[in-house]
Amino acid sequence: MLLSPNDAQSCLKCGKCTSGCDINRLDPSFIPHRLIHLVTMGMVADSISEYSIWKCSTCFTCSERCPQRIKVTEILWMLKEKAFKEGKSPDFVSKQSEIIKTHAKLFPISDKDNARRQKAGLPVIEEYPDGLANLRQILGDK
Amino acid sequence: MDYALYLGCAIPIKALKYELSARNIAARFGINLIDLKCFTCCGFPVKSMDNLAALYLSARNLVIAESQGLDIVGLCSGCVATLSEAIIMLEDINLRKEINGLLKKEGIGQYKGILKVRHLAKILSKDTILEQISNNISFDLTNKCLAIHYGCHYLKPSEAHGKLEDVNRPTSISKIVKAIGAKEIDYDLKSQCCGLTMMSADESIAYQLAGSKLKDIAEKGADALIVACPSCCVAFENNQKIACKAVDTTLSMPVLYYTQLMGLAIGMSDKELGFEFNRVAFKW
Ligand code: SF4
Ligand code: SF4
Ligand code: SF4
Repeated sequence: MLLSPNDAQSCLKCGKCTSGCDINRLDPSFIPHRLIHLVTMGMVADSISEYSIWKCSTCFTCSERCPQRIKVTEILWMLKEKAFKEGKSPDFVSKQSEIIKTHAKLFPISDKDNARRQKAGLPVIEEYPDGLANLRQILGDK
Repeated sequence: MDYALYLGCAIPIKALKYELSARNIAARFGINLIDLKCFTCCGFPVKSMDNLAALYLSARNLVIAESQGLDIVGLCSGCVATLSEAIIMLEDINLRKEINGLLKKEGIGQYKGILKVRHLAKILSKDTILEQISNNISFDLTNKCLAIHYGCHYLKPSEAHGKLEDVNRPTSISKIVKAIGAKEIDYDLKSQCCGLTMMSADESIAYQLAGSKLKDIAEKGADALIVACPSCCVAFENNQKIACKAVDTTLSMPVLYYTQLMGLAIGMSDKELGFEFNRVAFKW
């Protein structure tokens, strides 16, 4: 199953996720356990309006530390997903989404890249020919 | 041993030195890396957009290798973590059904769940290979002090990586450093993230993360930083100047992939190891 807000319910508010978070150390306004707490209170709408969710580096340190085995990193991903779907994500996310919907890759390969590869003795990489329909359908062909 | 080589999006463009050295060192030890067509993004960036779409992307890559009867070897830690996580998620029968429905529409076969995904470093750090390395040293590195950045996704989530090593005390790359005769240095910020994945959201924090780590290893006397992931390499090598500036320092810290290090020790050529692409020069 994909994660849902229920998967955060067992949170003890112990703050162990936050105390191991590199991003929190540099930016005290990013507080993972507060975001998890909002989710457990059914306040997902509030949490996805916070720009700070995008600052998570997805390092998984919090998930490894959580005494309740809550997948903190994944819950934050779920919040990003909800924010994206409601049009509340920063511009860089929609840009990335457009690239991926067109090329099925975040860094599409150009002829120039392939020429560089060949010069270095590496094989040519072909663009992905088809099968993007599914992806476009799920991601929404806006 | 045959494996499907999964390169992902970043390596073919941003990490030619890693790809070259990986292919050449693998060949040297009888690891046959096979290129398959039609691989796409592993799904990692798509998790912020749609988790089902991300899982579908992971699954279609898995199926492409699985239908050839091959396990996957990855070079990028982010890709390996994402594909490995997908394997666990797809143990859920209903989710697997849904994904297989999508795969059917694409017409590339069904996911069976019989393949494994491994990071190349985990294979190259096996004792049998390291013994061969130690017995074939032709370039002396005994006076070198090396710092290792394992990288978050190389180790975590531990469940996805099959709990193969202790997240807090990893050993695989340390064993490589030992086998080539160099000294591994310990440092305070060893487990700190490179910051690259959150660069778009907050540059200043990302640069501080990379910069503080570089500063830490320099103070501890490191001659180079060893990495195993193209994103980490970009954070510490391509962005080194600006990352150092973020922590008020200037450094010229060489960054090498573990594959380059192994090749160097056993006398492989600069060309085979892609050293022309290293941005911070080093004369060893
Ligand atoms: S570590 Fe786990 S239980 Fe503790 S606050 Fe964070 S999410 Fe809640
Ligand atoms: S995954 Fe995100 S929230 Fe968790 S420790 Fe890393 S940066 Fe912090
Ligand atoms: S250190 Fe950075 S690039 Fe490397 S695996 Fe972790 S998040 Fe990814």
